[in-house]
Amino acid sequence: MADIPGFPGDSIGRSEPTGRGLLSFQDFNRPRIRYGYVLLLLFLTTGAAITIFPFVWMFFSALKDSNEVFRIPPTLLPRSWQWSNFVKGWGEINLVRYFSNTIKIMAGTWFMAIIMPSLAAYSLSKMRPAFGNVVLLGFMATLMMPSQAYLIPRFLVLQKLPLIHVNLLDSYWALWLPAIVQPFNIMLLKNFFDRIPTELIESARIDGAAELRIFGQIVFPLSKPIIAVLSIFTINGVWNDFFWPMIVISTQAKQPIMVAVQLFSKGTSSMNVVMAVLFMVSVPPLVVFLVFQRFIIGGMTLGSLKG
Amino acid sequence: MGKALKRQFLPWLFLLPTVLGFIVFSWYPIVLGLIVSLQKYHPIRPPQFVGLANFETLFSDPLFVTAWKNTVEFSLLSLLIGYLVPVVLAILVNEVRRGKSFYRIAYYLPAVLPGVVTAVLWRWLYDPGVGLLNTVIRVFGGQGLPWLMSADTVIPSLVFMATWAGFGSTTVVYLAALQGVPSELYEAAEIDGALVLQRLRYITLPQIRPVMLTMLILQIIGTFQVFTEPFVMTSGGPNNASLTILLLIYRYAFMYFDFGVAAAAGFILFVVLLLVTLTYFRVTARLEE
Repeated sequence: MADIPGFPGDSIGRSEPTGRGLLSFQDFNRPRIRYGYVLLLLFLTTGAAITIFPFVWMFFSALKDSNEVFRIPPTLLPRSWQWSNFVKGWGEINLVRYFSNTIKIMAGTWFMAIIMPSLAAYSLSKMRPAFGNVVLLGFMATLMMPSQAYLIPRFLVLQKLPLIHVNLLDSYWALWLPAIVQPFNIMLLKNFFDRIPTELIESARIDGAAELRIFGQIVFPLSKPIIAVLSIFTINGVWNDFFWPMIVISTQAKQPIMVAVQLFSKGTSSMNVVMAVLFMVSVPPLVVFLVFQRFIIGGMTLGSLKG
Repeated sequence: MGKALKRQFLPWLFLLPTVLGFIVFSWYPIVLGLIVSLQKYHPIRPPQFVGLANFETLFSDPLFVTAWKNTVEFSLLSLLIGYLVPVVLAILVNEVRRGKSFYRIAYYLPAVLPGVVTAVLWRWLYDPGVGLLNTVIRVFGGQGLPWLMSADTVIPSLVFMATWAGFGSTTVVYLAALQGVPSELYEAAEIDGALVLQRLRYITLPQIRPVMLTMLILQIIGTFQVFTEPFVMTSGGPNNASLTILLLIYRYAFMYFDFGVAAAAGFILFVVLLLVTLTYFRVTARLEE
């Protein structure tokens, strides 16, 4: 069932595209092109080394002792490898607490940013609600709105929800609830659902399946590629998020990881320990990237269709 | 009538949470932003209508001009330094026969780092005394630069770092676009005897032009909303030389508790960015004709 041809998400995470570049095989018969190609590889490799170097520097700095990290001229490799800096950083910032805070935020955000938009997109795509087009337009128009520009009123809305006058500030609801505003996810999900043959849904309906079951057992499993991509981006986004949590969560013990890292970096800890913390909090996104590389790069391409 | 309503029940049940969310957290705040920008709004006092007084406050605040100047400078410099780098790199990487994905991963790596990590790391690299960058410069016999510590170099330093952090993800998008160029076009051009540079000019660049335009607009919109880097690295300093418009909004709201003025500044930013986006749609529509 998963092999319906022409699915928009088919290419995600599978094979690499096989387009060609400017140079053809014949071009390589010319010596000038061949020398140029070697120069090109040299240039790209140097570029890659320079790009990666700050990251390597962070790792080595994390392993130096507190004197060596400030040494002039600096050493590249640590003279004695202080793995204990990682233990120290782990304890000093209280990584376990902020990690579990972030996981809590992630779980709720994922539900609001993936499940709710999926239900809405499914409704718009397959259930023909009255005024569906108006609703879709209302969703899509917000794609053009720069969200940071109305940060202040969004903050004020959370401080006093309209009609019910509840203050959500300093609770995770202030992060979870606004996460439902995902016009881009809705657009991609709806495009995906539109490609699922209506007959599939209709026949399930005739068999008496409830809509929520059709969604859960047919549509959702079929949409795994797109759900996976959007989930990775959502989870990464929560891990990296800083500005909005810093504003809406005022109790420091409730903050997610990046707010804690920012505060920690301005504290009194030594630079090698700070670097150890930076390295540790970079590991999860790095692992996610290396494992799901194909999905993420496929997702970036979806992103470029945004305009 | 009852039957039609009943048929509408389920579809709308699926839609309702999202529609409510959009109304409460997207549409209503846009309206509220306009209302609050016309009010004296302090968190503990009842709001009071003051007309355009908040806008007057802003326009008479020299920092408002500074913030816009810095933001525009950041944006233009980002375009100057960072806009063409991914295009060139993607075209070059696309020529690589073997190990293309190595370069793609290497260039994308900085984009994987969380923004806060990048900012803290570069604050350390930029340290005038013991930072890596000045050390390297001194090895080559130079003096070293003040980087984040001087009003002249702070914005270029932030732009350089932001370029490092961001060029990889854009390169990946261009690479995908280059992979989408039909190979028949190149083959036909080769049969006609087109040289490599001619193929670049007449096939590659026109084919990726729409993506280049999209990236241009996304970069402008993104750089106009820069906050994390100056907030973490310089707090807007030295002497407000890296104060951006979003940082000023933050200060008005969460340091001076003057939400009215903050909302007014947000409204101006909102209008500016909306105009940029609309111009973009105009231009693409004209290009497509």
